[in-house]
Amino acid sequence: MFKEKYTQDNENIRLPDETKAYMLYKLNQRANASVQKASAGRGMHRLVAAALSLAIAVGCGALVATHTPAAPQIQQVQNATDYQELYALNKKILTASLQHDYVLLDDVINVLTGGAARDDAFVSDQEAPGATIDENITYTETEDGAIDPEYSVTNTQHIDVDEADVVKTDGKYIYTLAQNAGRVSILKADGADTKVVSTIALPQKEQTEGGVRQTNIESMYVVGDRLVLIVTQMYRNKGYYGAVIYDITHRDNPQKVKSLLQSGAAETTRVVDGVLYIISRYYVNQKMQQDAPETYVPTLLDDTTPGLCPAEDIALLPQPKAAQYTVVGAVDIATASRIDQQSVFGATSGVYANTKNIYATSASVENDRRVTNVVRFAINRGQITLAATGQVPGTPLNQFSMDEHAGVFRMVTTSQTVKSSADGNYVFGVGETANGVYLLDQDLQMLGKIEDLAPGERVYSVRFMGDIGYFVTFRETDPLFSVDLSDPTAPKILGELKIPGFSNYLHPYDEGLLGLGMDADENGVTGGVKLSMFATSDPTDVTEAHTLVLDARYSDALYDHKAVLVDVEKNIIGFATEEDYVVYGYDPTEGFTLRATLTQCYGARGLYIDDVFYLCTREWVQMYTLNTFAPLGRVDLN
Amino acid sequence: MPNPSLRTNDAGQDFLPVGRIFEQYADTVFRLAFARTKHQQNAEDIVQEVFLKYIKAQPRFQSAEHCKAWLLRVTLNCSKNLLGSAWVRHFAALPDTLTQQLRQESQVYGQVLALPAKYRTVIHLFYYEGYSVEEIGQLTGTKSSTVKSQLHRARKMLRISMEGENEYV
Repeated sequence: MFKEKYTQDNENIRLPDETKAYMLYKLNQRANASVQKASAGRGMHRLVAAALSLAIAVGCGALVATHTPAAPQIQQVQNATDYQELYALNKKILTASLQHDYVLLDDVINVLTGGAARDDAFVSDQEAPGATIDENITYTETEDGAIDPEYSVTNTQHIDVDEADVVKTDGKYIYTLAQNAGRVSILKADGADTKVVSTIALPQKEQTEGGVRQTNIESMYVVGDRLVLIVTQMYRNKGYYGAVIYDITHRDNPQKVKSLLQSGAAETTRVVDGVLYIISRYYVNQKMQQDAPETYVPTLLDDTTPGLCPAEDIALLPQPKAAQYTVVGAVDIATASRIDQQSVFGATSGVYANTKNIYATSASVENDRRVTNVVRFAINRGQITLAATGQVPGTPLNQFSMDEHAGVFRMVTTSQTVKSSADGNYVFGVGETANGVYLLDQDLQMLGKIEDLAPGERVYSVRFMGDIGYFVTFRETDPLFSVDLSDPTAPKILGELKIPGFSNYLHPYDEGLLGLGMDADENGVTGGVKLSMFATSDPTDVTEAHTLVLDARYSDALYDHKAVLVDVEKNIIGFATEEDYVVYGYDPTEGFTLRATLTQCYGARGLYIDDVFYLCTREWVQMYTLNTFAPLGRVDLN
Repeated sequence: MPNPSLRTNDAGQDFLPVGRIFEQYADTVFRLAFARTKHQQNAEDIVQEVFLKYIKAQPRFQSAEHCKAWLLRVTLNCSKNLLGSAWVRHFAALPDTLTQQLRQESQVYGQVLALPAKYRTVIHLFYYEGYSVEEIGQLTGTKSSTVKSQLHRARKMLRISMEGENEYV
């Protein structure tokens, strides 16, 4: 009967608990105010309603923001005294307001239509004296004294800071991860004779005494004779993020050494000088109990032994915005031991760092405008110290929007006025976007800036190269801006190049700048994947030297910089499209030429060792000659 | 010291603190507001408005039924304002997850969404809240004969859109 069905349908319509909690908080506030003031006439700020799409909220990689509650009084950064203090702070924030992430709608649209996913960066300080090169890519001598082969490495933002990936090589072996299968295959790279020497399979679901443990391998590093798997884990309804370290001295017999995890959801990891930095976000929820600090303090899990992050390693930000911690753990890879950890209470997602600093950022809204809060941790061989906090208007696109050079922290952001939804859960942009470049000193105080650039457009890609920064904005055309950053107190726009379409990813190439993006017509409707080579020898007059629009409509490389292989010397620009893996070459007179079209399947990565090109997917590895891409053979991984 | 949030009137009835009323009726209000506006965020906004008005007016009720009716009446008034505002017209084009979800997954709600606002209201008050035609007339401030014919037309439209389902509505 209709009545029954209609009733049942309605029972599924309800306010989310969080919305209710927040509304109730506001109502009680109002009720108390009206009782105290004995007047019912004070007009409450009219809550503005708007429609937003929830379905695309989580997991998109969009920037998240926190709602600002009535804050406990902390005027400057200090360490927590003890766990009771943390309990009180969490309690205050949680009962006062809503504990949740919300998504900035335009960033989500950005992700869906062509912007890059939120990511985070380690940017090396190009001026750092004595900066060592990650062992991963050093030429080392083999036992018989020969020099190791020459090989490609993960396309990281900078060479001294390694980023985890699904495929790795150390020049002799290739390591591939099939995420869905929880399996790592180790292959001896030997041209046509390449073969699998061992496999590591982590049980994705195991029954232990304490309960079910679910583990997913996200990515990995290879550092010397250690294989570091970056994993997320669910155990007893708590989430963890961290590393499982294997000894691969004998490549055909990997041995698990230790599992080092920390509370929270995955943010990112980096390796600097043999130290693994793990960054996670840990949220406290209403279920905390005062006499059980593990319900409101981050846990460090070594194999099965839990320990709490010591109070003195927990820094309290002034006016913490939410009951969340950013947890930074440092692990020495060779010995699989913890060096240090630092949590910040009140900060959230978005991490940017270099060999000396980790910058944790969180997007929020103040005075109806988007802002980014920045916290700087100094890192030194695994020691982590909270050093400074600051704020910048607007929000960055991804890791490449930030950079530190000569002690100056630079950021390109997109700003917009926002309006909040009734429950405060969502904001969406109104009015024009504008873009800006901001430069801050080591205390995260503003040194210089340029604002109101390209109004009505938003940043699509950024690349900092020393004193010059390049960024691309887009609405219908793609202005590529070049900015002179040599004087941090007075940054200057040097030039602006307008071309159709946009670049999602900018990569320094020889003496120019390679752009990988999409073509678009005059109405902003996107066409095919586009390669652009910009001539930047004169930053005041950047020109597009060559361009090529492909038939392909999509590439992973547009959203994940690790999916593209660029090697000037070998003349390779390699990436997967929705159809194939393509390799382009570039010549200053001829422009882009297609060197090879190779079959691929999901998540393909290209790499080379000596004169062999390896195309690695989760199912197989296929070998080709590096010169002509003639097929040499194939290894199946199942 | 007496609890400042409780006041009594001459008949000895308490003005109940908003917390309790909210816990009990927030979803009820939300469901009517959503049926009216077809818009999750607007409906949430209305819920807030209704309970704010409760705090401001401090009404006393003879019974739970009386309380609920008061809240629903206020909901109808609040949603009347929002239905007509330029703000809503401007933003109505943006996707609303709940609406989409109901269109795809519900048994009959999707079809109800297709009805005009007045018909959705009477359908909701009649079939979900269980009010009689007379009671609906009092809540909405219309004659019961009007309510009757609205209900009749709404049923007709639903039967048409549910063809093949032989519903005794």
